[in-house]
Order: sequence, then C-alpha cells, then structure tokens
Amino acid sequence: MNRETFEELIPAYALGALDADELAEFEAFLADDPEAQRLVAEFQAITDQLVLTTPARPAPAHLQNDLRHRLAAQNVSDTHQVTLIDSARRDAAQPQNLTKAHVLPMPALIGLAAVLAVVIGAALILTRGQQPSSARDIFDQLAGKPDTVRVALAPQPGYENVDGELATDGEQAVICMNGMPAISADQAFQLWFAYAEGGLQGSDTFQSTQSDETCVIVPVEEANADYQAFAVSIEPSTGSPRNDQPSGEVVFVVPVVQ
Amino acid sequence: MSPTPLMELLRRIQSDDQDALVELHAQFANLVFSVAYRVLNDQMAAEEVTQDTFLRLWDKSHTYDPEKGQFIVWLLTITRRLAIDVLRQRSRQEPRTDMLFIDENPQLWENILSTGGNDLRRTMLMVLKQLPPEQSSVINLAYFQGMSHSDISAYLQLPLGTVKTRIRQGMQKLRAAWLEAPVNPKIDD
Repeated sequence: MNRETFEELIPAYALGALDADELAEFEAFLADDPEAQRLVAEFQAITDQLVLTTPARPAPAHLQNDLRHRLAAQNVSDTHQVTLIDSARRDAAQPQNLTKAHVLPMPALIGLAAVLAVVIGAALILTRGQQPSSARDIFDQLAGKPDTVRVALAPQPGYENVDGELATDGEQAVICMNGMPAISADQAFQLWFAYAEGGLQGSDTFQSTQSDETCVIVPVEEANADYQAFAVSIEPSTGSPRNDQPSGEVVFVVPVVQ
Repeated sequence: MSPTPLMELLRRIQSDDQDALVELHAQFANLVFSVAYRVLNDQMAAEEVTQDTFLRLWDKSHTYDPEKGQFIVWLLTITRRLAIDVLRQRSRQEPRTDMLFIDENPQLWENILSTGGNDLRRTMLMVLKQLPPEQSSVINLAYFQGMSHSDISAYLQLPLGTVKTRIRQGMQKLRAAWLEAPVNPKIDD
C-alpha cells in the first residue's frame, strides 16, 4: 500500500468498509502517522453522526413491560450467581466476574415473611407423576380461555433444550415443560417465586424426565401482579437448604406478564 | 413532569436501579428501535436488538464517557453494531436497497436532540439527499448493513475500484458539509 492509496482509504476506514486484508495493512500505516490519525478521527466523528439520519419509527408499546420482565428474569439468575459466589468464597476462591449481583435486603425479606407464609401454606405442586394428566388438563383448559396469558419459558445458559410455557388466567397457573435435564436420584427440581417487591421464595419440589412432558400447577395465591417471575432450579431432593435462594443451577425462568 | 436528567439516570443505573433503566428506555426506545429496524428491516428482530441494547447498557453504562461524545450517538452506535451482528449471524440476507424507510415520526428525533443536534441532523440529512444516489447507496450499505468494499462490489455487481471511489467521494462531501455545520452540538441534558 502506497501513501496515496492509504490516504484514499481513510474515509472507508472510518465507515468500517475495509476488507480484512486492507484493514491490517491500513492500520499498520496508521499507527505511525499522527496526521492520518487526526483525519481518521475527523471522519469517524462524521460517521458517528450518520446514525442520526435514521428514519424515526415508534417502538411497540409492549417493549417497556418486556424489559421489566427481562430484568426480573435476570434478577433470578443474578441471585443464583450470588449463591455460587458465596459457595466459592467458602472454598476460599475469588469470584471472577461479579456483575450486577442483587442481594436481597433483610428488611424486605422480613416484610415478605407474612405474605410468603400464606404462599408456603398453600403451595402444592401437582406433578404429572403424582396426578397423571390433571395439570395438563388444567393447562389445556386455560389455553382455551380468551383471557389466558401464555408466556414461553426462558431457559438459562446450558439448558437451551428446555422449552415450554406458562399459562395463567390470574387465578390458576400451570407450567408445562419439555427437555428437562437428567438429574441424579438424590436431586429434584424446585419451583421458585420472585416477587415484584423483591425477594425469592422456594416452593415444593418435583421430578421430571428428559423425554416426557411435565406439567406442574403453580400455587398462585396472590394476583399475578405480585410476582415478577417463576423459576425452576436443580436442588437436593429435599429442596434448597435456604428457602430464599436456590443452591443449584436455575434451569429456566418464566417472566410473569403484568 | 420533565424527564430525569440523563446523567442522573446513568448514575442510578450504575447503582442497579432498574426503574432508572426503564425510564431511560421510555426516553430512548423509539430511536433505538428505529436504528435496529433500519439495519434489520424486521420488526421482531429489531425489537430483540432494542431490548439487547438496553440490557447491554445495564451492564456497561459505566463505559460511557461524556467527554468522548454524546450519549445518544453512543447508545445508537451500540444498537447499530448489535443489529449488524444479528445480520451477519443470519449469514447475510440480501439487503433490500429498494426499501423505503419512511420517517414516520420525525418528532421523535426533535424530542431527544437539542437545537444544535437537530440542526446537525437536518444538515446531515440534506447532504445525504444531495449526494448522487450511487454514492449515498454505497455509504448506506457500508454503514447500515455492515458491508465491506468487496461485499458491496459483489452485491451491486460493480468493479471494486468503482465502489471505493464512490465511498470516498461521498464521504468527502459529507466531511465538507460537516465542517460547515455546528460542531460538537450539545445533545445531552
């Protein structure tokens, strides 16, 4: 590349239009040329502004609620991340990428206790194994109602094969899931509630297989608006040792539509 | 009620305040979506990139440096890059150069940009319109579709040298207009 070619490529470089071979050669020249660097900066300032010429198009109104739900889903995962980091600390290891980890404030947990006690008391998950087809039947009934909200499960990293749906009319809620991971005999899946006010609450455990569909009735005692999300984690067969945090990996999250 | 100042929102986001992110979303989602749609020409994919942009902001808001440029440009540059990544993952669908991207609601820009920013935007739009179509189209393919010289050459079935010349001439005209326009407009609060 000669000097003339190099200078001619400055606008294209700023625009990001150089091919890989041109790019390497161009940047080798650029590294030793302050005047060219100044010109590149000038063209880059111009190309930055090109984004302002984008025709405006209103975003769909539902995106704001969707963002809240995705943040809620992230909350569940992040809380799980804290658990892992705590475990790592117990093993004297240093956490590596602690980002946006949300720790629940103790006053909020205490305040939630009374409400959660009601939920715990009422919590009963009926797996397909326990009452064959009943949860699936309720799911089908819900699916046929016009006011039912259906939300796809959001599998967490490592569990991309899991899929399924939550169906709820505000009074009843059922999650049907497929492709759940294989777990050992001394493990179980555990359902979790993430509350809109903050805080997690463990619910009952259930079993599932990789090959069969599993439907569980979610024991919603409060209006759906009080929940941010439901989640399912892998736990010891008796459930997580802590009732406010999963101890195992979160398999999926279901943001609750408000 | 006037919107919360941008820098305050960013400070709150850095303190993990989700409401602040939602408020920022309310202010900027239209323009983020506009850029994602301009690149992808796909409603669903543009919605996804819009949300990804704000989640990226949630994790990386501390990397924004007001000394280095306007927030809106920084945010929309993230959007454009994410959208181009999606486009590339789709193993490059044929770009639709015949698509007419209509400014459905120019007020959306007016609401966000300051007077200086709006002046600059109008200048850029005017200069782009005055460019010969063969120059503006190669600039758009590079900028909004992430295409290289060779990509554009293959796509438009033009000699590589012609593509390079068109990009260079078009960009030089943009630079000339830029030098005459108000520089470094104050867009943020």
